[in-house]
Parts: sequence; structure tokens; C-alpha cells
Amino acid sequence: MRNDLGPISVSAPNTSLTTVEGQHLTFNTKYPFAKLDSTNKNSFQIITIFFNTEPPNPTGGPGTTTTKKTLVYQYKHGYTYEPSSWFLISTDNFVTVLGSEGTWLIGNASGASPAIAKFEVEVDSTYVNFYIDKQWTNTGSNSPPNIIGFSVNVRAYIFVEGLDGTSVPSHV
Amino acid sequence: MASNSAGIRVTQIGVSDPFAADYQYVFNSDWPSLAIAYETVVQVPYTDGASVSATVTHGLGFYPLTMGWTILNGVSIGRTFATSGNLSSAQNDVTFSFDNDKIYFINSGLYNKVTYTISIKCYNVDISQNIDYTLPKFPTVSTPYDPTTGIKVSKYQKSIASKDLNDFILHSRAQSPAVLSIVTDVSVTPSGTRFIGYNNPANYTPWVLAFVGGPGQGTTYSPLAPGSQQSGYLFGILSATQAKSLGFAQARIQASFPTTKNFGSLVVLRDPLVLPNVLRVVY
Repeated sequence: MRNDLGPISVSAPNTSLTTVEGQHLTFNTKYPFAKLDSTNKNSFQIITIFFNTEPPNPTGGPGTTTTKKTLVYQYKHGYTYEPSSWFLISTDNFVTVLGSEGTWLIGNASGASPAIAKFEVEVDSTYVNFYIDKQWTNTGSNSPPNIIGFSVNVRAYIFVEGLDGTSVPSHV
Repeated sequence: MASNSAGIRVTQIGVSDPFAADYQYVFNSDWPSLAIAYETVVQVPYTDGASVSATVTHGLGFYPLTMGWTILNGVSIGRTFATSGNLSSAQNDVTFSFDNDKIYFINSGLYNKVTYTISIKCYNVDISQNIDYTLPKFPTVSTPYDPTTGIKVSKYQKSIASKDLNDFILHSRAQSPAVLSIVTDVSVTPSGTRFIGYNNPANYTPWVLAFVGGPGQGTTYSPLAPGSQQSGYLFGILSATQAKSLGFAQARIQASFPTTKNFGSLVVLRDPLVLPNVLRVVY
């Protein structure tokens, strides 16, 4: 008996459980599945945030670089611990995926832009928090990063499994 | 619709197995869902100039789909990727790579010279092997969970009657992302650019994960964030229409410099067979 199989295992067609490896082992109860709770509406969401007003701008004077981070939306994920989570971000309804958590909405990815606005996602033990994090180098003649009129699309998975490393049973 | 092969299939009440649409299966073992084969939490200190700040052993014997989450001051600030100009600043401090036995972490301290907590999960999928599964159709109607039918397997010494999904290996109240394809093949454009690409026959934009490196190039894989150039690679995800318009694959890893065959992997995932909750917010 192999010791890497759980009580119930299934292999792909035309393969044998006695020798099957990798993804040809399609079902194995030795390991817990990554679970999205179908009764928790927050587990799989597509959220669109329309910026009808401008989040606060950095206010440094000419010749300075300042930042301003603003919470723009939060929701309860439904757990009492930090769950594992995945996010995809777009500004065109996923015609193009702009990035994952921590995406730049305005600015050059090289970091050299004087006006930067990032969409950041933080997950604590109660909330999923969306922030706009702005950075502005005031040259004396440029504007701070403005995102009014933007729509940010977020595709979010919130899993049952937490980040504390206790999902896999200790006897495995 | 499911194949007629052997396996475990549970349909919704009133639907027969041979005639069930994909989304009418409460559970179907034909689709390899992500299972967590190894996980750990590791402290990664800032180690000035060191090539490796911390190492852990997963010991799985294959190249597992591996994800990390960066935790700072008790808050998850996002998944951990290769360094990219398109991530929030602190996300660039810790990067990791992995092979078929170990995971290696580097804390560059570019933004914060602090110790980060990194949560790691290795899923039971070998990203170094090409594979392609039948494509389930996603649902067109929302179907509520029915507690009177399904399948559940509890963890050792946990009650099968528990209401906490953490107590279960498998529970049909929950859905898991399943693997549609793993693509490691490399194509070469007339200009010599190499890329690994995937097009979804069902035309919707799938969730895709990208890794570069592996046995074809060096020995370790590193995860890429979508949407920007990072560590010499571009990882893009487009809608089917946009991909056709631009002449690109829907998902692609592109290397703009000469590189060896099999320089990475795309892991394409199927959405859960439930409809997402759609929410509009005005700020």
C-alpha cells in the first residue's frame, strides 16, 4: 500500500493507482482541498469600484515626495482568522488583467514616475481592505495622481484555509 | 458533461450522471482540484546581501504549485512573487523560489529592513509536467447549496457532523479551483522571442498562474505576478477578444532574451462551478 494515498483515491483514465503520479492522481483524500465556501457570498466575488470622488492626495510642497494611503472599501470575509486569498485587478472589466494585489493604476512600473497611484489589498482576521496608495513628487508644475473616473475591477477568491499553516492534518 | 470513465461523481438531486451539465455536479473526481500537500509559516529576516535568507523543506519529490503570502504586522499584504515594479512596495521585499524538495526565500529589505512572516502552501500539482483536461462549462444559473446531498470527508479526529469547513478534507458545500491545463511548451516567434501561451477554448478569461525557471532553466521556479515585466519576463492575461485582436495568446509568459527550452509553466485554473457574487461600489 502506498503511503501517499488517502482512504479514497481516484486516478485518471487508463492509469493505475498503484503507479500513478502527479496530476494523473485526480482525487486523493490524503490532502485537504483548497475550499471556497459556496454558502459564503464573499468567497468568490467580482467587485467593481467606481471612483466618483478623488481619494485624498499627498500634499507635499514643491521639491518634495510625499505619500497618502486611503482605505476606499472594506468588507467582512466571514472568518475569524486571516484566510488565504487571491485577487486579480483590472480597469477594463478584464479585457486586460492589470495585475494582482498591489497593482499600479497610475505611474510607470519602473518606479521613476512622479505621480503614482497603487491599488493595494490587505486581508486581516476580519476584513478585506482595499486601499489607494498615492505617491507624488511635486515638481512645482505637475499634478498629483488623480483617479477620479476610474473603475477598478477586482476578482476575489477567499478560501476557507487560513495562513497559519494548520490546514494539513498533522498526521500527514 | 462528464466522461463515462470510472471515478466519483455526485450530481444535484434530480439530475442523472450521464446527462448532467458540468455545473450540476456537486463533486466530480475527473477534475483535479487543488489540494494542499504541504504548508508552513516561515520567518524571513532581512539578511544584508545574503543569497538565501531562509530555507524550508517541503520534501514532496516534485515541483509543486507553490504560493506564498506576505504578512506584515499580522496583516496579509498580498501574495509573494518575483520582484516586480508593478507590486506594492513591501511586496517586493521577500521573494521565493522552489525546487522538487525545498523552498528558498530572500529578503532584500528594499523597502523595510524587517523580518517578514511568509505563509506557504504547496498544492498537489506538478507544474513541470504538461497536462490538459476537458473543459467544464461554467454555470449560467445560480444554484444554492443543498445540504441533503453531496460528499464529505473529514480530517482525522474531526467530526463528520462539524459545520466548520476547516475540519474537512473535502466537502461538497465548498468548491475548489481545478486545473484545466499546465503548459510548459515553448514557442518562438519570427523575431526570436520565446513564449509559453494558452488560449481558452471556452473564450472566458481563466485564472492563470505563472512560474519561470524549473528544470529547463536552472533548477528552481519563481512565481510571477500578472501584468508587468519582472525579472526579465512578461506575464500577460487578456480576454479572448483582446488576445485575437493583438495576435497574442490569452495567457502568456514572454521572455525577451534568448533562453533555454521550457523556461517556465502556465497553470490554468477552472473557475468554481458557482456564479460569483457581483458587487458595484461607488467611492
